[in-house]
Amino acid sequence: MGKHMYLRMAKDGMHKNRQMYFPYLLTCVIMVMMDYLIVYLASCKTLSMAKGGTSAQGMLGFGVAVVAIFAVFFLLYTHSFLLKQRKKEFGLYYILGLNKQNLLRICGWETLITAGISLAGGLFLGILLSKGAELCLVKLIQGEVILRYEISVFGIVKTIVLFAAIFVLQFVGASWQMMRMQAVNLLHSDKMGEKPPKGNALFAIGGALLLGGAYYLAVTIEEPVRAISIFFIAVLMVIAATYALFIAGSVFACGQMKKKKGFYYKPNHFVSVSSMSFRMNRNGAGLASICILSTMVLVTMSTTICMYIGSEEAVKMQCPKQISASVRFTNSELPIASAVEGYRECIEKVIEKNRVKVTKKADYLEGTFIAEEKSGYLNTTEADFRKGLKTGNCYMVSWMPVEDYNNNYRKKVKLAADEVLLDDPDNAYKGKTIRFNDGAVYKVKRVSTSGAENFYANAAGYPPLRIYGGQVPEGAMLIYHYDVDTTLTDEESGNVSDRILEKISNYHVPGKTVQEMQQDNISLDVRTQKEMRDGFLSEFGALLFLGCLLSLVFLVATVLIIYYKQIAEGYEDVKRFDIMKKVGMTEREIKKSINSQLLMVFFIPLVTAGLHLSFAFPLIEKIIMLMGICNRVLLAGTSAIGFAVFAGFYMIVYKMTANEYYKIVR
Amino acid sequence: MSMLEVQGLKKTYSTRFGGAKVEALKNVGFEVDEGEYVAIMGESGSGKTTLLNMLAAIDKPTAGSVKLKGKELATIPDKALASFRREHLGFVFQDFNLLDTFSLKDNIFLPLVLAGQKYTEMESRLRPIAKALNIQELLEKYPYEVSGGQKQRAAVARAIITRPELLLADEPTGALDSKATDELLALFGEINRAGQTIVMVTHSVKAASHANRVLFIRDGEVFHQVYRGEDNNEAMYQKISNTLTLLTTGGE
Repeated sequence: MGKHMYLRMAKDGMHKNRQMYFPYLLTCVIMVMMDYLIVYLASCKTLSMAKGGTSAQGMLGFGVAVVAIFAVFFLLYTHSFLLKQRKKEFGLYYILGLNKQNLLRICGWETLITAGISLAGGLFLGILLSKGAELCLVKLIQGEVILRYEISVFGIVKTIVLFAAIFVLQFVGASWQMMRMQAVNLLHSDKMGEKPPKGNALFAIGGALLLGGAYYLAVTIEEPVRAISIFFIAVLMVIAATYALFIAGSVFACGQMKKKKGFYYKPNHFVSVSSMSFRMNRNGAGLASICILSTMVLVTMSTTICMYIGSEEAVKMQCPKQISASVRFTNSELPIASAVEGYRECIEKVIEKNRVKVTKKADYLEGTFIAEEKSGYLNTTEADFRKGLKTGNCYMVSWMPVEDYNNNYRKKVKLAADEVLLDDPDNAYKGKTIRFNDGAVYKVKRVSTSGAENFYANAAGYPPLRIYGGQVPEGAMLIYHYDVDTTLTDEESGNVSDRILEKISNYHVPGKTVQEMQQDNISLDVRTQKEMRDGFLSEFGALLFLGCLLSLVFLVATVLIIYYKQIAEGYEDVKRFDIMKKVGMTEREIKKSINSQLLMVFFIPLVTAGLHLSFAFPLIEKIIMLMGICNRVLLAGTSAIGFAVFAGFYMIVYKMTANEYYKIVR
Repeated sequence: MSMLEVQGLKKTYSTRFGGAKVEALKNVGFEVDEGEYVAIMGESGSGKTTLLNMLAAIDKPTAGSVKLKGKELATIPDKALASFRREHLGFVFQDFNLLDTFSLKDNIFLPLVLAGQKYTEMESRLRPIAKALNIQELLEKYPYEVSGGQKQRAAVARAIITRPELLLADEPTGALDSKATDELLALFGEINRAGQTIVMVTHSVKAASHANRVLFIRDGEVFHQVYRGEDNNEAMYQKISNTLTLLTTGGE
């Protein structure tokens, strides 16, 4: 006797159930590996030495938490599934004379073996692949490669602690199951069919309302700033709704299919419909999990890929030309015109002195404010983004003197004193006149100026109005822009932008000192596309990398759930098909019936995931808008391609697991 | 005309790699006429189950032939076997073999569904059978909700709803209590009187005593036959038990 016997029984048990244990162990190994990889990347020194590495690591820190939380839930869930499958075996041991302590010992050994293999295998693979993963990430964020190999002790310790905790929890769960075990129940366990849950209609209605609500929120949201908080609420609503609807829907559909005699009593449908309704609740829950995981993969991938590809656009949005300088006046008592003139001279002096060849130039004064329309007035308001204004009658106004308009758009417009040009791309403003709250009234001449979208206007979710001409509106925030494209290289543009900043920092209007200028809260900003690009790439590259990593984790989970679903149902159905063969069912009919069942069931999650993705689309669009990317076509493209690739992958998994099922029941 | 003709039936099982050979059936021959009710008796290992498997076309004989209504079973191609069984044979098993995913009604319908029958046709076939078997009230129940006797009656309904030429029963009373056994045997008698040919494998003397004829199998051969003639069930019971005593004490 002694402990060797229990160890041997544990080993035998795992070996005999290898059809279930092997995929489980593989999943554990992958989870450990992923956890180590992400902790390693988020904390390793090598990466922090690379350009953009630290900001990438900030992003990855978020992923560390996601992977850990997901690993806990997912591994506990799959383990409880394994335990359920083996209940009968343990029941037999129990009846043959092993007491519960003995059974716990077997369980304990099993847990130890699982932990040992997963931690050793996972950490080995993690350490092996860590440099490769790091290089991929560095490539994505376009940082420089640092040839230095590092093993993260912190990562190893953290991974071991996390997974040790998970395995301890699994063992506690197993013990709890063992303690409640009663021999009689174990011997004839799975004969009863599932009853439709009480209040199924309520479930269905609740689910439909939740889903409808989430979809409504997603479609109607206009302010991107609120989109982020709404997004998380909507995600929770969709998850709950998916579970409720899949369970209720599966119960309802089974009932309906059984009622339709002409459909039910057909060789293809008869067997599949009855076994589906036999396990309708479980079926619904399993399919809902598959659907949600698929949606997570789809949303993550299409979003992060879109952001990475679209990062150049974000660069242009925040820095329209190679070098973009801006001066923001907060104090309107300054002599603006002369200050603008002074700043322009400063910048042009630097450009001349450095012999910079300018290919394109735009310099203009811009006044921006949020205006609320009230009985024909455009009132400047103290807008608080965080509170969120009513969007109904607010506009994001951008004003420009008519001279700058003529300069920038190469026009020769002459306006009367009571005229302004209005560009209203959303066709939101209906009035024929505009009256600012300082009392000035202007007649509107509508124009259309195609150009870069106003980033801030979109972010706030208000329709933009561009007004050219007239006096500076009261309460507008005035910004002087000086943007140039040059023939400089990226490196040189950085130098020049530093010089420009240095020069304009020392400028002061006559009668004020440099210190007084600073006290007036004039904010100066000179940026280059190069530095913006580096910033975005390290941010979006890290996000894309994180998206791939998380998608991989979710994918593994999806595949395992599908696989287990097939296996568990296969073992349940094997006796049934045996009887059916005796009653006179041919192999061909069995195969057809299986196909009918799988087809009916397996493509529903995929289609629903596609539906979720398309309703999440407006929400995702708003969120990435906040990151500076307004490209609906690109997002639609990455979503569509992402869905197509995922569907192909799903088909393969379906084929393979269906084979597995068929092998069991034949 | 004889419904079932068995001639010189022989079945030899060889262990893997062609080692020792076991002769399950040596030389079995008998005929069953249309409308007959035949019981086959024998001890465990006498070859009863092997014989039944041959009759059901589940297993192929090494030599000899089994003909159902003049059709040689061995010549039916594998592909057509399942549907042949479905159309010509009805089965009742010791452990019922009802599917727990189906209500009793759907269990009974299973062979008809597989044969592609219309629902209205199935319904009209079920009504008289359900009435005769007294299971009208149970049709919507599931196997785990009814007793063993009720399950077996449903299984009988499933076996005869296809109007098979031959009803094969393998220890049909084996899992039933005495009351349910009596009911089932009475039922078999009724079905038989209505014209159904029945071949039943059993080692219950009581079950066999309801048949018109009992075949005894020993060591892979038909060893003896007992005919009912004009006897009632009790006299038949006595005859069978005498034969069994003879068998076990080694007579001949």
